[in-house]
Amino acid sequence: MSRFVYFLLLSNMAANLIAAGPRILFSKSEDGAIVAIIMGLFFGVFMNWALITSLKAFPGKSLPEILTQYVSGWIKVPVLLFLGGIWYTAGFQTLITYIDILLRFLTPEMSVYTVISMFVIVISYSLIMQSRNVLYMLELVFILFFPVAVYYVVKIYFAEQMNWDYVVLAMTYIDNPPSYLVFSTTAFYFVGAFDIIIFNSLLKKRMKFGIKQALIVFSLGTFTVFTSYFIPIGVLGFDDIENILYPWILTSDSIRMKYGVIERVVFIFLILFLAVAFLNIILHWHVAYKLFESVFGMEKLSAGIRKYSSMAAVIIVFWTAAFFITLKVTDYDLFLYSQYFFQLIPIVFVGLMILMLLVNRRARS
Amino acid sequence: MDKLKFNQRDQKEVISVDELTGQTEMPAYFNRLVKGLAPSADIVKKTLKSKEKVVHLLYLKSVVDMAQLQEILIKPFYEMSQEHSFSEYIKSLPYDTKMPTGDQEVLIEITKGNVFVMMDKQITLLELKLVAANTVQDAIMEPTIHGPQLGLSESIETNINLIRQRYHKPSLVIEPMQLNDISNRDIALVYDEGKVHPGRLEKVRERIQSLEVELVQASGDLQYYLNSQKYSLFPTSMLTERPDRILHNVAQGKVVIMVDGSPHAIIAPVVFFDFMVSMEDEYYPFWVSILIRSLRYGGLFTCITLPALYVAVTSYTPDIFRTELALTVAASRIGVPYPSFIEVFFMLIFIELLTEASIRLPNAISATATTVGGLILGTAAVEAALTSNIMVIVVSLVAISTFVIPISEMSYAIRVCRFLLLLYTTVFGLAGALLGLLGLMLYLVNKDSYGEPYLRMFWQNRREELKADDS
Repeated sequence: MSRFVYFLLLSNMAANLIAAGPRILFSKSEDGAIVAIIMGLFFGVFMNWALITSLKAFPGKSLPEILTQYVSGWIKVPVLLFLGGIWYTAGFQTLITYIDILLRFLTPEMSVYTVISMFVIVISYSLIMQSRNVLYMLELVFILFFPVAVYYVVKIYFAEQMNWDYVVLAMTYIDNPPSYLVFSTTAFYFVGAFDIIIFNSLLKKRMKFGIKQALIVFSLGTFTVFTSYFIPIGVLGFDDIENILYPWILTSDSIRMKYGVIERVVFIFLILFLAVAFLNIILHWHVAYKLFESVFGMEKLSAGIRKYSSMAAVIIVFWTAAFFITLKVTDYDLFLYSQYFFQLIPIVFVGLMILMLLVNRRARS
Repeated sequence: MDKLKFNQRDQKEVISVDELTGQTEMPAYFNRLVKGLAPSADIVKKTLKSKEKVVHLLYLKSVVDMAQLQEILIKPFYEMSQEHSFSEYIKSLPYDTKMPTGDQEVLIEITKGNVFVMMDKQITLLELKLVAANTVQDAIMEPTIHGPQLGLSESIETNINLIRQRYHKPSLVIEPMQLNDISNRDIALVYDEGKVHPGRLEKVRERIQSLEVELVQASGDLQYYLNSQKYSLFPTSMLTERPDRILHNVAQGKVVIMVDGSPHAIIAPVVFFDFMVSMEDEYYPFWVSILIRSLRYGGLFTCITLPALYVAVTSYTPDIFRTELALTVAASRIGVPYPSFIEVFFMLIFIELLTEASIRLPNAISATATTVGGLILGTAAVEAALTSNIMVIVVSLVAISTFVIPISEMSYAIRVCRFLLLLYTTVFGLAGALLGLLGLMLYLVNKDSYGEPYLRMFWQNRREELKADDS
């Protein structure tokens, strides 16, 4: 597998810490979280395996290109439109959560319009960037923020407040029947690699997904899910965890750096995850943009002005929706819709894989 | 493409001209050339005559080395007896230039310092150029402690000599090119044929050939014209005066463009990291150069973000610091009558003025200017409560860390970026500072220099990764 696939996977896993993921897991902590998490982990690895395998026959081709070649427009257009919507929502979910976090914890005196406009310039630019450069950006941010992330994780694992008894207590609920919601939420941690349905056009080498890769993906996923579920339980206690709105922020804020210039770890968390959320949004929205672009055949336009105007149109559509929904949605709505969204993911995945199976059979014959 | 090497020029060509009408009269072709150059004061047309042979010479005395002309051409003419042997002698001289076709081109060659020699039907151009500016200059822009102390000269031949002298490899190609401007300046592409990426080389060539400019004076403005975008902030090619930097880049497969009459060479394509390399890094032990390099990147980070962070922390999120520090910062701002961003803008502009002043002033005065500006004014501004103590520290730190960037073009770009980031932070606070920084990175990542990605990481061999991209 190309190293970029791991980066995509990791960025999505990390971004889930701030989004609704952990909160959904905690809401089911007393009915079936543990078993569902374990099942979700295996399903997540399976999803990655299936994706890489199904794309194996088409190195250097993105999903729209593959569909154009092998299926008729009647199937292609709705599929791409639907997938575009899914990806838009995925990025949007991160955006709206982070905007909410900013308004609560970092810049409480700012208006919501200011906070959204802060993102508009930077993210719009990333939409119209070349896909290749989006991947380079991903890599660059990863390298720059990796030391901070390691410091943060080590700090939080070895914090005084971390009480492993709560973790053991949480593990005792292993005998409950699994919950589908937790299962799909865990599976969502693994969908980062699905961005390659667009970025595959840049990965010219034939990808391999063997035991080694499966182990890497599995251990990455296990580590992330374990951290995101058990660390807040260990720090904040098991009993009331499901009532906390942003468990990770509270967890980070319980820990301080005695000798640091910045005393509260929560600021490290906020800065680190601003970068992560930013990456997550640009990746998902870039994919969404490319999917929509392929539906409307914009890449065929050669004249510069027409191309720019269509890009402007997409950006306007993206941002109008974002502004509109961000203003409307409350925390409760966000939590609710995120649950629906996560539950949809395994179904979308199965559908996509059936389609890829069909395409693969056509390609072989 | 005719890849000519400067010191392996083609054999001279002999073009037959009109039949001579008389021994003493000038041939028609010769007259035509003279007319083309008239009425300039420095034209010399001479006819050397002995019993059985006549040779016509045409040159500009301002650009031809008289002593050499006397030694090589005129003396042997009168010392040799046979006509035949003298024409053979001229043919065998190593100074000849390729004879171009067309009168205009011949005239250009004459203005470059060639002597036009005509003998019966045989015509030759001899290069007896007098170059006044071929002394090698000290490296001023990028001085190093270790490593070569001399830079390039203002003559392209001397510069090529400097490169050849340090890079003995037959694959080093020196490709002469002519600009389509009014001065017909000589420029040359220098690259290692075995290492250069053919696509990038072709792009550089195309860009040069498609230039439509009135006059190119030096490498500096050629570099500006070569820039694909008119309003580009970051440089996509690099100016250097150091032969060792040129070779370092040639060995990496880059193309060097030399302009006659300019003591700087242009290196293209370049990426962001090239601007952060000082040649000195190569001459120090490993750990020392690692330390210096990390200092430099630290300086880069500091000088971009520090003013923005100051605004973000004092005006937006003071609680990010531990309490003692936040109180110190707040206490130092007591009495300052305006918000922090005005203070920062004011001080930054002040420091930029100081930098500009100390560059333009003569050496003797610039020390005074910095002392008055930096020490006296800085202290006075704090005492008058127009700015805080900590702000003075921030500004000096920013100024110092800007000078850590080894290539001045990059440090100019960074200075502009600092202001942009400050503006973004002023509007959006701490989160804006970080997002602005990420946006700056996005801009840099999306940029390319002649097809080479400007800012990207390489894990494996750089060439291998680039090859994988292109396939």
